[in-house]
Amino acid sequence: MITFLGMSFLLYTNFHQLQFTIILLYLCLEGMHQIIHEKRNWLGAFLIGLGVIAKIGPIVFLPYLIYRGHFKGFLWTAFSICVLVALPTIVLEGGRGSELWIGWASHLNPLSDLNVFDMNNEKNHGLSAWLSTLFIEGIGHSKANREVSRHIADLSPDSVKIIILMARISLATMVLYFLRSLTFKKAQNDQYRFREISFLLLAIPLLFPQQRSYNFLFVMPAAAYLAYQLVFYKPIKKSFRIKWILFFIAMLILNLELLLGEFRPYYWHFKTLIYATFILLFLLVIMSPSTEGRAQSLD
Amino acid sequence: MHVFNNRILWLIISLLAIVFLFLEVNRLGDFDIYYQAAADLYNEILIYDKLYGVNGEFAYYGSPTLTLLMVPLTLLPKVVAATIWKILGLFALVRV
Repeated sequence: MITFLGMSFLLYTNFHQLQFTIILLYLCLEGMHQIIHEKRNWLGAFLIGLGVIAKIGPIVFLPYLIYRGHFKGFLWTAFSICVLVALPTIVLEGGRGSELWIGWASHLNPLSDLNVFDMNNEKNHGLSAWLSTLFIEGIGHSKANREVSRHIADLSPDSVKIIILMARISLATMVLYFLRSLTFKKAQNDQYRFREISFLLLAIPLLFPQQRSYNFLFVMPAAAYLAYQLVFYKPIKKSFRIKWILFFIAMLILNLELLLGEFRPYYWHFKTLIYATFILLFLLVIMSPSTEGRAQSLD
Repeated sequence: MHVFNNRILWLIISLLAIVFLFLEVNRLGDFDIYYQAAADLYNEILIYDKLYGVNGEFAYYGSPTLTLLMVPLTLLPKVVAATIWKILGLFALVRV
């Protein structure tokens, strides 16, 4: 219930704009469930492959599957992706499939300025868009641009490109903190596994360009994990109240557009969703599965 | 009590879903872009050279496979296809 309420705006905007993110989230979670719990590697791999092919984000699960020793799952996923990539070439005649893939790849080229700075739309909220607004004066076409300044320094575009690259690498390497155990070993239990998967999903809207508000629905599993920890394993530490407050602030920021929609241009201007995501990320880092959880190991 | 709470929660979600489907039956949102791109793919128009949206301001980012998989939906009227899309979204939400 807490998760559902906390995700109100993100769910609303997904359904209102008939977006694909909720289906993508389902493909990721169901795919991982099928591979890890049901041992139906082919089905899980097909679902994840479909997610990767629809929007590149779920590709973060490929290295995870290798790291956790789900080699069959990984190979089936790689095979599914290859088949799904080949599908347009098989179905469409006269080399149109290849032509389409080249067109698509040129749109998503991670080295093009459009995708590095990610500011072709004022509603973009990803890590690149946020850093661009912080370090390049006047970038983007925000309606609130002329009224409130948002940059903290004015650096050259090349310097900002390096900062963005470093930030992406740092976020990607953060996964090692969540994995902790050695390579090719399964997660300690379901709570640890869910926390790892939640981090990977939360990282998607941060890492990839063209992330609008509805893409932040990927933080939903992280919010569910944190809500579960806060509700069921409460009284252990003094910092419990602070964690609840931080969680509440994150949920509030995620729902600002629903609660106070008239200030919408300012939320886009300051990329507020990324601050909520950072709070959830911080809580995810400090709130490891409780000792009660360790007793529930299913491995 | 737990089951009771779950039932109430599901009842609320189901009611919201029905109200949503009824109120937004004619709303196409970004689905219009996917639908148009799938129709263009069928008609051999270069989807990545074209701009989409009401004012023609958005580049299309959907992959060729996703667009190809959506071609069957273009055989249906837009509103019907969009309703199927919404129901798929609701199914995904329930499963998530």
